[in-house]
Amino acid sequence: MINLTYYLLISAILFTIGIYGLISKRSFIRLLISIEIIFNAANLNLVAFNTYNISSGLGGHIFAMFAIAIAAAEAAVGLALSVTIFRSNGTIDVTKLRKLRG
Amino acid sequence: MSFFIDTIILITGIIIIITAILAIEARSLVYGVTSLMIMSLGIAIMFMILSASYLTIFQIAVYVGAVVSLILFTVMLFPKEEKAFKLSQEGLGLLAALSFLSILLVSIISASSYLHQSPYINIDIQQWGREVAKNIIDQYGMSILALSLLLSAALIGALAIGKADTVKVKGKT
Repeated sequence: MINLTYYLLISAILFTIGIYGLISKRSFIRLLISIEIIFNAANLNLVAFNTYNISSGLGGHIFAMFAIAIAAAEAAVGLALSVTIFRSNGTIDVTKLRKLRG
Repeated sequence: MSFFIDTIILITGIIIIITAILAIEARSLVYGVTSLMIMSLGIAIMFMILSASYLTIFQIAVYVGAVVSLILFTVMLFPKEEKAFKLSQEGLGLLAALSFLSILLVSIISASSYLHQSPYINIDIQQWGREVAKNIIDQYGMSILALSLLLSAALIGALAIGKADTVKVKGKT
């Protein structure tokens, strides 16, 4: 029978995949995708913990709702930044963005 | 019935993990974003199984409908990604991720005996909706206000970032 541990494992694996993407990928969009995966892992964790401990109220579900909204805001700003970076540099490879390094 | 639900959860979990890997590793960014969309749908199914129906709708509307579509349209603006692999960076990422995963797995498995492993809780959807609305108004009213301000600020910020460059380009020409 599936229990809370299964959801935590799925969440941990998703989080790890996101961390791997953040470290190894160089494209700005891939980094954004990695962050979205990490957000999803955190949301799954929050909802699973809350559903299996329903006596503690619905805080986890509502926090997940907030996290989804914040992810939407983050994606909007991130994509606007990626378009601007591409216009000014002609690439979205984050290792080639050296203008602010001095 | 329980076996049927367990099978759905298992298959959904496997699909989520495979599509998450594909989202990172797919050669084309469009395929990557499509995988992210399927992964988000899988997470929405998980939410539904976890009795968070309202959150399922929210996830599909906001994540799949808005965020992933936005990423997909933005990706279409860019040319094809350069195939520049840095093996050392990939290896470092894999090593860091695996060590991180092993720590997480050990923590989860060692904590599993202390966790409350109760069976599925089937909440009435109407009751859940009422409960969420009551919670939002009573306890999280100010947070919702702050969140709406944050979203507005993000939208204005995104517009300003895009607009600034446009003005610069116009000034040049």
